[in-house]
Formats: sequence, C-alpha cells, structure tokens
Amino acid sequence: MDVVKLQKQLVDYRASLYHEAFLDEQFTQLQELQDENNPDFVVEVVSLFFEDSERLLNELAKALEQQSIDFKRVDAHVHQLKGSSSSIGAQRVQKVCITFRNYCEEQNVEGCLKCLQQVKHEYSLVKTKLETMFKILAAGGSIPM
Amino acid sequence: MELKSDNIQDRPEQQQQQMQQQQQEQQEQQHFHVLAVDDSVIDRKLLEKLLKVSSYQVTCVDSGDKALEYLGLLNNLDCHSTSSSSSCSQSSQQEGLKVNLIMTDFCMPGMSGYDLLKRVKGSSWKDVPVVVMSSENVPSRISMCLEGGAEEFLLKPLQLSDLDKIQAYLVKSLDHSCTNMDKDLIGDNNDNDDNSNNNYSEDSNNDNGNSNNSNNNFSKRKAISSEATERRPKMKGVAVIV
Repeated sequence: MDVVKLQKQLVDYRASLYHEAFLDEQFTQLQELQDENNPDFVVEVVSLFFEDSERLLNELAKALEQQSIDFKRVDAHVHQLKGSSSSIGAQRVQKVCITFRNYCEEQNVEGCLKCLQQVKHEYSLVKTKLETMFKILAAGGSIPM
Repeated sequence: MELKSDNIQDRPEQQQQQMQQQQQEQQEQQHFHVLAVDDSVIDRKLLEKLLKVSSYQVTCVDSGDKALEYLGLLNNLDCHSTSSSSSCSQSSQQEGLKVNLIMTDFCMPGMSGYDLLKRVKGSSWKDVPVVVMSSENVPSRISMCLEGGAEEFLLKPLQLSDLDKIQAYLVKSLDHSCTNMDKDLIGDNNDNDDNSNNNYSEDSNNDNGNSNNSNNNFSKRKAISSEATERRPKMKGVAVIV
C-alpha cells in the first residue's frame, strides 16, 4: 500500500467534495474536533447523520403519502433534516431542505414531492461520497491536516 | 502564566493566599459544568464534543422537561426564592448539583428553549447563565430570548470560536458561587453594576478568544461585565444579569 499515494488520493477526493459543494466548512470543524482521545469522532457523527436522515426520509415519504397531508408535520421533519445536514456540513442536502420548507409553507404538494425526490438524491450522493472517503481513510490512515 | 515557576515560599503570605485562590479558580474553571439541551442527537453529540474539547463537564438532555427534571424543578411550578419554596428547590443544589451554564436549542418539540429559559429564570437557578441556540437567524426571536434573560444567542451550527464567548459568562458566574473568596472584590463588582462604561485596558485583550489567563481573573471580572454590555447593542434598556 503506497501510503503517500493514498493520502494524496484522500486530499484530492476531499477537495473535490468541497469544490462541488457536497461539503462545506462545517465538515472541517468536525475534523478539527477529532483528536487522539476520540479518533472516530467524525465517523460517529456522520453515522448518526445517516441513521437520522434515513429515519426522516421515511417519515417524510409516509407523511406525503397521506390523503390529507399534515404540512406542519412534514415541515417539522424537513426542519430536522435541514438542521442535521447543516451541522455536519452537507451543504447540498441543506439547500434542498430550504426549498422544501418553502413548499411546505405554501402547502404545495407537488413541490414537496419534487423536493423529497431531490433531497433523497442529494442525500444518497453525499452518503456515497462520505463512505468512499472513509474507505480511503481506513486504507491510508490519517487525514493530513 | 507562570504561577508554578515562582518560588511561592518567598512571597509574602497575602500574595500566597491570592495565588492559591487563583490556582483554585483555575482548577474550577476547568470543571465548569454545562447542561446542554437539544432534541437533535447529532447536535447533542457535536455540542458535547465542543464543550469537552474546551475542558468543560457536560450533561446532555434531549428536552426541556428532562432539563427541568435534572434541575429538580419539574414538580415545583413556582420556584421563586421565597422562603417556602426555596427549601425544596435548593435541595438539589444542596446535594452538590452544580450547573454553571445552560445551553439550549430554541426549536424543540414540546417545551421550547424559550420556555425553558423562562422557567429557569423564574426559579432558584435564575443566576445560572442561559445561552440559546438556533439554526435560524430571526431577529425578533433573538431579542425575545435576550429580553427573557438569555446571556447570548448563538447561531447553529456552533463552532469552537463560539465557545470563547461562553467562557466569559462562566467566569462571571463564578462571582456568584464564591463565598470564601476575597469579599472586597465581590463588593467592587456590585458597585460596578451601574457602571457600564468603564474602560479597562484589559478590554482589548479580552475581545475575542479570551485567553485562559487566570492571572487576570480578578481584574478580568470587572472588564467582562462592562464588555458584556458593550458587546450586545440589542440589550438597550434591558437589565444585564450580573
């Protein structure tokens, strides 16, 4: 295993995630909080994010399938998703959530359904990207800061 | 700060006492206990880490109700410091429960952060600084919380730099908990309550990124109470809780 190559791959990959706005500076903050006492901090937080998001996406799908949609409930879920994506720096997910909330306010069913698809898409993209990054990390060791 | 490298034995007794008190304060500073309230599991984890990295002790709860329960306020609807209710609400304090700061999310299902703020400020824990956090930058919300007695309103996601602001409130709160410390200084602080325009040279040093310099603790207290007022233009006409 060429560690130097792996590290470069990691640095480049990570840079691309920022460049394409999958991640923003909040993700950097997370990395800065990680230390020897808690070397898996970032992975733990991100895993929590995955679990929480999947739960919320399921709830959203259910809520929007109802005959009579409870937009307040939908909005509450989106608000949570917006918050957690913002907390880990998943910028694109957060952005869709903002649009999503506007549709909730307008009680626009079509708009909400469209946003649900979009947010699912963005979520699965960032999930794949982060998982890939963690794999490179696991293979290569630490992220050079 | 080089307290430890000084030859303590050579100094006059009064100075020795002062230095010991400063060292004690330093240790206490490292063990400030923060009660963190947030319904989001991710934000709780983040906040806990931010606080631990800054050497604070943390207790996290996921709702306002749990926070009140923790503070021993759940069953006591009226916890003003009147003689009848003070005994029951202070019992948790007498048991040694120490909370130096409460940090709460604003938007929570059930009891909001604002509701929690009001409950705390109406109880025997009213002197504990409360910081409210929110992901939304709503000016009316911010002023409502500040007027409700919150020390600070922080926007999420929180960063390490936000913790610097918090340190100022914690040092201030030490004033209320110390009884054996130099009473002259406490007296001085009380006199300073009305004197919000004092300009101390330490102010510029304390502006951002408060240094952990316990050396300056005694003089820092005065600087911080005036600084806290200066930093919050929205607090016009509102009593600063010192």
